[in-house]
Amino acid sequence: MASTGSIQLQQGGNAALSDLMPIVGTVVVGFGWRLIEGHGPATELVPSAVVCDAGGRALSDEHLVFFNQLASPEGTVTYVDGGDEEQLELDLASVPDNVDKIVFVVYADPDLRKPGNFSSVRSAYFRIADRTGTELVRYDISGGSGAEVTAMIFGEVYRHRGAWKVRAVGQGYATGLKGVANDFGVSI
Amino acid sequence: MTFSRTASRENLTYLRRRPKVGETPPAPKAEPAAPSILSLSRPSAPTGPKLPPVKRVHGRVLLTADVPTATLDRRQSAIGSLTFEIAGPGGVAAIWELQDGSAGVVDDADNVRISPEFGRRPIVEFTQGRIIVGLRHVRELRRLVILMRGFRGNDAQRLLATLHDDSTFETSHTGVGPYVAALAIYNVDGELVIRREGAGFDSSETIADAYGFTLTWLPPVVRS
Repeated sequence: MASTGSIQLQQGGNAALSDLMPIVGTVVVGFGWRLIEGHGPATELVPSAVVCDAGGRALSDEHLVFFNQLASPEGTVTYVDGGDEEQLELDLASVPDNVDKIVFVVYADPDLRKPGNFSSVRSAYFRIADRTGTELVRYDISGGSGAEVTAMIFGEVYRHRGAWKVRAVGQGYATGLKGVANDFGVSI
Repeated sequence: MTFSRTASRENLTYLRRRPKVGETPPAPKAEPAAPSILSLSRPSAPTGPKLPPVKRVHGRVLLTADVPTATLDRRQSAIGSLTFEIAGPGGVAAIWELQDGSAGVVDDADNVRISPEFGRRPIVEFTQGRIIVGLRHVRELRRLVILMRGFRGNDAQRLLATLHDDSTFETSHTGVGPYVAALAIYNVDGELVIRREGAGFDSSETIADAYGFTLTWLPPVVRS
């Protein structure tokens, strides 16, 4: 517990949450971005979290948490109304043993009328704060993406030797939510 | 019935005054006592008919008079677009209602092809011969009635709906009127519940009346 200020992660970097807070309990994950406004339909980004087992697969279809599926069945992840563009809350104190990681996916909604992509997205980030709102760790996704990127794994919170760590991932998908969901075994 | 604006409404918990510090709150009114004798007979209150399990939409689902309902799951209800089209000639239109109570008709025959926008996309739109519902903002949507028109005599017409996951549901109706209310769709706590309808009407307005819509929304005037 020697930290003052928030840890800034680089792509691929990680940090132990237990180094950043005295007791790892409830944390808030905030997502943000800026869109380059053009004419015509806007890119609609949707943050989500996938609750995964040790094999990296979603525990069930209901373990994709987003604006229309507001909590994972066991209550580890809940969608909350708060700051940033969107926020999720993680209850890390009481996660069932079969949950190994929680992956943060942001997708461009695949509306048939000009579906968006990440080429119009700037200054995207995710950050983790404690319940008082104090930011503990942050990942600013530097650089833009090509028009082929339609979903992105921003980062993940995962178990490592009995403790919770956070990793900055920043991996784009050209196959959109469908591709991501397929990788995690979620039927959408 | 007289109505007092000042009398306390003890039956509404959210209107109860919070007791001041040190004040003893009034004792709650006694609830009717539960029967103290253990009864081993069946409960006398009706338990209602046993409801069939929810029919989910996977692959291709046909809604008929015998199987008139289906329910989309929370992912199907909120991702991408839900489209409705007529297989063959004929037209498709929609009456929508949002959670804020606003409602309107999207009908190419009336030259109205749009509805309120979210993310600069109409939540219900007629384009390229079909009705498209944008599901990113499904939480704004309360209900929807899909209409069919342009029947040839009493011939049947088929209505096909497609989801983001390529699942489809479809139904068919005969031309019992110039307009037929084909499907009613309700947002029930985040799941879209679909019910096959089938009554005939003279116009979209008479369907709106019959289904209790108060049409409040008019498209912006575009001067050419």
